Amino acid sequence: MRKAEVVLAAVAKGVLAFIVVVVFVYAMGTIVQCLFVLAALKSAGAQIPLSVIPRVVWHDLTHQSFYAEGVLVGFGVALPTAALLCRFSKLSQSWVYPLAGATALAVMLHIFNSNFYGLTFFAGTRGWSGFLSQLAVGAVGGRLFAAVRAQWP
Amino acid sequence: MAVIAKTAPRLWLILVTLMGIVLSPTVSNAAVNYRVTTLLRGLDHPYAMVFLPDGDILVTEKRGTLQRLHNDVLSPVPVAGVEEILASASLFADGKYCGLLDIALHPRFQENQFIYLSLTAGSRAANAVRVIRARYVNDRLQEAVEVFTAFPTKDTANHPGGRLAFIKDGTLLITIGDGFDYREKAQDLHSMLGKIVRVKEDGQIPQDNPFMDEKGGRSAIWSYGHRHPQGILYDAQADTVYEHEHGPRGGDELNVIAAGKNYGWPLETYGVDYSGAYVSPFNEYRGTEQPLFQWTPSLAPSGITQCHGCQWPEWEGDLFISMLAGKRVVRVRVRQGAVTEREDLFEAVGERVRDVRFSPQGALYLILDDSRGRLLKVVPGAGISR
Repeated sequence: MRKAEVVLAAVAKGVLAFIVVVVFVYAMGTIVQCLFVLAALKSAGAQIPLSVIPRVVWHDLTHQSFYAEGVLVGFGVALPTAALLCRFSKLSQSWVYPLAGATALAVMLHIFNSNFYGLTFFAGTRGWSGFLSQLAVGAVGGRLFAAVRAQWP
Repeated sequence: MAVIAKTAPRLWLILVTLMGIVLSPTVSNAAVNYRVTTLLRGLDHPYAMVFLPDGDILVTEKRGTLQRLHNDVLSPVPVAGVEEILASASLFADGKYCGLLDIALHPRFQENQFIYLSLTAGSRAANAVRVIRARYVNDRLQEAVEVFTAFPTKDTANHPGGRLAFIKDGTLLITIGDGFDYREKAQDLHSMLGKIVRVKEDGQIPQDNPFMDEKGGRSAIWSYGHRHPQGILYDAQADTVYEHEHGPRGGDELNVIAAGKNYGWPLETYGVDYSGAYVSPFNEYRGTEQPLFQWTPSLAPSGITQCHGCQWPEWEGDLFISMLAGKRVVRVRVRQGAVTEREDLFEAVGERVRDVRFSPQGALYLILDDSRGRLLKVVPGAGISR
């Protein structure tokens, strides 16, 4: 009975950490995309008052369901895979989880683009800087997952 | 048994009638005054059509063929010479978006037999809209010359543009899309992406173009801030240029085009990105033109024509816009610079409509966008009053 409780607690901890990380990556990834889009718009000549930016960010946070699904599925595959790798090998969590997070976003973006006529589905990832920043967000998300799991009692 | 014997003939009649309705190539609408008939099946992604003065029809297919119909019947072979001309023009046809696009007759076609074709030239990695002019003699294209090629090239196949319209002074307007991934270029007067350009019939730049003082070929630009203009029409009676373009998710636009004006993309739009994110937080932006009308959600406008002396007197002067995603034609009435009436037509056809034109006799023709595309003819329905 005591062993079952321990297992259940570990699973609950993992699920909670997963939810926190997915929410974090979705929010950070969306905000970063939004800033890249606004920067491109500014480069095209738009004058965007600072007061408008919160409205744009809020709109994107509440309207990017495809991105949310992509992060959910991507991390749903990547993080358990990373956990298994760490459990059954001597690989370090400190880089396996970030790598898993970055890979999840890279694959997710690639799948969206491949199914979108080879074009860029998420406009904030059109350039290399936008794309790599998404990978960075994924890596931070993976690292956060490892940290949250380790910190929570 | 007596009941069965009595009702069987009636049931049979109903069954035969239903089968007739299902199998008939004609779609009639009793509520409105038109009858739609399929003239031709099996066109390979037809894109545009034009009527010759004798009533014959030329239809472009994206893969690079030009079909001719005489008395509404397809000629056994495509127009000759086209394959060679398009090969030398470096046709890039990807089977989806790029290939042979629009066709237009020179305003004095009966004198010079000049036909203008637009196409995407180059390769997937580097393509651009190109316009060629050729002489149409004895069902053959010959003496082709390049009139215009947009620059810079783009590495996306989407949003080529490529629609053509001659205006009052005999110059040619050519629409060029933004290439999808390069939307900010629509505001860049160093690039032709997202522009409408104006050239003379031989490709020279008219001296009165609005950006004539600019260097580097930008002098061809007539208007800018366009996304994916797939329809352009010159209304000679009102001396007005109409253009429509795809928005992203929402925000398809019908515009009245004037020289030197900025039509806003992507600074302002009524649509959002396909991901749901903002393209721009602005529906209106100072210094840019508002559309005459905008469609949200998108119907994907693909072609445009106008009724002048058509077979429906009640539609005189109205615009007819074909829709891909909307699978219909929308009739738009414009009076005093505003849309005063709209009507959805031919929804029963239920397929993507690629282009729409009136014949010299005033019948309406539609081409449907498919690998086995159809050509439809619409005439007033006999005995059906509107």
